[in-house]
Amino acid sequence: MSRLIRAGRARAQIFYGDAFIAMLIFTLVAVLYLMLAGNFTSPDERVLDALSSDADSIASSLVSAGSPANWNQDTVTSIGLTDGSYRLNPAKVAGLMNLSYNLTNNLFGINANYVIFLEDRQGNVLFFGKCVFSNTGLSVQNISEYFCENVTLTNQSRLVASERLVTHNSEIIKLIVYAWA
Amino acid sequence: MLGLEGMAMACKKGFYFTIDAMIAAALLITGLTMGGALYVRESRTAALEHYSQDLLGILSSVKLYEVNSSFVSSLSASGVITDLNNTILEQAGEFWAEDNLSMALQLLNLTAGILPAQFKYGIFFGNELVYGPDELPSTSLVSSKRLISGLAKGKPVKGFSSRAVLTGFQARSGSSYAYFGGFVGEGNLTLRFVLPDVLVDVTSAYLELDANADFSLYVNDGFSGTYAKGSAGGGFMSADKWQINDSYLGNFVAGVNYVNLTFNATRGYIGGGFLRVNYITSELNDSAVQFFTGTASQRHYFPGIYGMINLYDSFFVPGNISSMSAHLHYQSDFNTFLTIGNVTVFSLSAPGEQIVDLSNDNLASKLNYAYLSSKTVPLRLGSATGNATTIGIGVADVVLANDLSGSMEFCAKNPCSTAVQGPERYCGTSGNYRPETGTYCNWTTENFTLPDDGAVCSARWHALCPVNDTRKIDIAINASKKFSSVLLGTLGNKMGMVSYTNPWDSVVPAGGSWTDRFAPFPDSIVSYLNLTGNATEVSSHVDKYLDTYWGTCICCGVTKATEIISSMSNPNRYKSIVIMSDGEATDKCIGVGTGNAKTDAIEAARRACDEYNISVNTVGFGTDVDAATLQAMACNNGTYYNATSVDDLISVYTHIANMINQVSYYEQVVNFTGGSTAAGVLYGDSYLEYNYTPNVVSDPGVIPAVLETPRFGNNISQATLNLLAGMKLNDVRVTSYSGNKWTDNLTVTNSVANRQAFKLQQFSDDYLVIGDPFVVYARPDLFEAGDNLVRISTATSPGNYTGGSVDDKIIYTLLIPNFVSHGGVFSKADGCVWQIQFEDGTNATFALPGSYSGTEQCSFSPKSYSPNDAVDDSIYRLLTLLDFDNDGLLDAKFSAGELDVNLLTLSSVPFLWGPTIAEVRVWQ
Repeated sequence: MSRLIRAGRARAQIFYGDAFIAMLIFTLVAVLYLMLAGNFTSPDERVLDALSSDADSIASSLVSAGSPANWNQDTVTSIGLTDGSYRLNPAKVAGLMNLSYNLTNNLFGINANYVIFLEDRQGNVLFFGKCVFSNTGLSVQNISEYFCENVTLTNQSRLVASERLVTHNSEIIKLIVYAWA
Repeated sequence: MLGLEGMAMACKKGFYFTIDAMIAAALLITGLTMGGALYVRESRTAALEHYSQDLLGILSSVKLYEVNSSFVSSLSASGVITDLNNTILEQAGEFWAEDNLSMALQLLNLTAGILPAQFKYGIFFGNELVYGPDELPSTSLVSSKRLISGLAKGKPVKGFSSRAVLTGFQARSGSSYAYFGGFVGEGNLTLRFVLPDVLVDVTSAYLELDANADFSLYVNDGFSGTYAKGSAGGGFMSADKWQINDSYLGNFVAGVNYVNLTFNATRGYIGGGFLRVNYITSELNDSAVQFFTGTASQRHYFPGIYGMINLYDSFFVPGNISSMSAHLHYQSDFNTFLTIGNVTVFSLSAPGEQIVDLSNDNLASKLNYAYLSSKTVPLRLGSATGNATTIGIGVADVVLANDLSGSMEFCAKNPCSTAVQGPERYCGTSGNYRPETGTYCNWTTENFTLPDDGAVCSARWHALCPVNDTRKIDIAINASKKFSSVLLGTLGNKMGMVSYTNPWDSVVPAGGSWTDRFAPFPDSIVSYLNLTGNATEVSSHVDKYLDTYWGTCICCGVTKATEIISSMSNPNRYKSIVIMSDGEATDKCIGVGTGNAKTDAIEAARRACDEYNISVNTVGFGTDVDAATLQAMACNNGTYYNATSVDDLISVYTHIANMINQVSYYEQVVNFTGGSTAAGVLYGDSYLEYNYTPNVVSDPGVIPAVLETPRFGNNISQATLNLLAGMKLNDVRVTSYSGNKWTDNLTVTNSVANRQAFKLQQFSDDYLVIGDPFVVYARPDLFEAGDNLVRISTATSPGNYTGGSVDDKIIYTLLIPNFVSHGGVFSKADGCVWQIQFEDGTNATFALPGSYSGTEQCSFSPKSYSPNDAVDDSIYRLLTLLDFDNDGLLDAKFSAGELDVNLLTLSSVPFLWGPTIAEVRVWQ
């Protein structure tokens, strides 16, 4: 009877120690993973995330009416291209085209390069005084301010796009923002 | 000890634990890695969100007329789409609700091809796919939702809503009022009032007046009946109410009318009242109702007075006064003056006919127009000279009843202490008698004279008062004289006297035998004096109180006093009994019958109060009074007074006389000592004119409805005016029969307590010199929807409030719109054949609209019509408006076929079903 009791106690001690070691291993691995998890994402992905955020931010602003609602080059504090209800205001688009890139940079509050243009459902870039809005030192291949065809941005390895829908001349069109590092 | 097998088993279990830990760690890492991967890719769902939000936003904001679509154009042209103001989403929703999914699909196909090929989207209504691929999302899905009201699957989308406009009618009922001022006299009177220019019929006329004498009424010189003062409920601070006989209604004419009151008295006057004429007119608005648009100008015409000019009145300008002028046309032997508010703007003493025009420059220099605007302003127009002054006049009828029982013989300050003497013969007869003698009084038989019975003999008290003491009867004589001098010092008051004892039956004619004894005062009344205004007559009567007598029948004194007042007074006068006693009631009286002398006294007083509206004051004189009985006798605002000494009785009597003067004080009559009242005339073309900017500007399409509340029925005097939400008040007037006082305060209590509508003291503390309104106006903005407690009071001076009349009432004008706007949405708009009852008891049947040829029957009262018919709904709502007093009878009178109701029915009005959820799902 006493032997059985002693053997039982020894077995319990062994199980307890093993369980402790197992929990230690589990905790160690979990902590190590969480410490290193941030490094799992590649630098490129982090840059793309930031670019996506910038592009979305610009696109969301442009879908709004802006501020003031009837803004012009002198009064603009927030750039919006619609009436607030998805109807594109061509005058505002033309106004955007005439703004300086640096000013829009400040108004959007971003540092990325970007290009803004509007495209119908057939993929045609619409002309509002210019085909696209971007910086004058545009170096992206095939993007031109005055030739609205063949807008491609194939040579940028870190390029993101944000598309929104608005209406113009009784049609639904796309408002597209490309941003790149 | 463990064996090898046990060790192996143990090691195996430990190995298992380690493996478990590693598996758990792997699962954790896998989970976190996958979660992280999803987190990293979260930005990819942003595009889905944008597309779903943008698509839904565009569909719910772009209206059909903005869409360049042949499909929409064709549906619009074919009438399938009836409202191009609908958004794409609303129209698609309607197609869905009507189960027309193919059209919904074609409409939503406007969005086709807008999203990149890798994105799929579906548009759902009520979780039912209407547009998009019938496939499950492969990876991520984002949904945007929006509520659309008025849609429900299988329910009708559009219905009918109707409004009704009353553009014409044959006739409607209305009322015109002519108000008299607080006091209009003194002489025959004329009053100008206006009926509609288009007068279809005069249906009834009603006269409510507090007049001082009987009079004959003439309407436009046509005799219209005689009216006896007090014959129709009139009395003190209350009015007679007469319905003018229908045979006289033909005397009224369209436009300006004049009524004349010819009194059966030299100095007739009206202490407030009005004439109401109910008529039928075909005018939507009529000139009989004050109705304000833009700037306004009005005239307050003075009444014509053929006698002493004495007018206490008021006027009200419902807006901001810009200018005023006055035109006075009169003649008078006395100085004539006009006081507006507390400013006398005109005063002239010149004989002969006078025509005086007071310009705005003149009045503006004396009056503060801003202060007078939107207020009830007292107005006083009268005549007075150095020998003609405005004084008060009393309307009190009072009987003073003094106790002449034997104890009144006692000295006031020295009590009577006597001792019984030996027996002797009673007045020399065979009857036995035991006299009592004392220091200051003796109870002995003696010879004396009774006015009606001559020389007699009986037992009586005799007092022997020391110096500086007086018999109580002598004090009562002096006090009674003082009472009469105070009370009758006010012109118009009257008083009578009663002296009472008990029916002592042991008086023997002088020289007579014991069997000859009799009761000289079987009714216990020693003497009495009928009501008189002559103080000398009263004094002479009191001086006859030379003797005192035996017991105390208090109820007998009260009964006699009641008899005098009830036979000589009238309901318009204030009535009071002052009964004095120095001891307990000893005798019952005939006709009361309580079985007890004291309760007989109390019952007699109650009858005087309740049955004859007499105020009973009681006075206990001396120290042996039965205060409890006297207190119980005081009623109808009467009071018990305790006078224990000589000075007390005089001061108590003086006080009571003054109190009666105060409550019955001042009719606003002129006392004149020179000149001729017959020479005075105020011509009815005299007026006060004011231009102003109205507070209430009325729309031209409204119908004025003049309504009255029931009489207040209380002396507080207050009533509640309940207004329904949406009612527009044009004016509110509260009538006030102030009698011999001034109407001095009007408050309105609703969500705010005691809103001040009128306060006479704002014009002067001396009410005698300013006007007395009969009609007090309250600004409409003081009233709210719901209950409005209106309280009006009278006074003879500021702060001395004395309540109001039971006959006071509120007369107010509502502006009823002649249309009802669109109501709810109904499934049909057909019409009905309506059964309608009018206020005059006639009935009519209308098919509404006129083109209705169906057989459905509807009724206004009791309410019965189709709950699904937009036309019936609008008609019922319009008829409800035309029932001004909410009694189920239309106040606007129409004839069959002549009711011109313009029904504007809107079809395709959305119902309020739903809401339904519209949803755009986008996925990859």
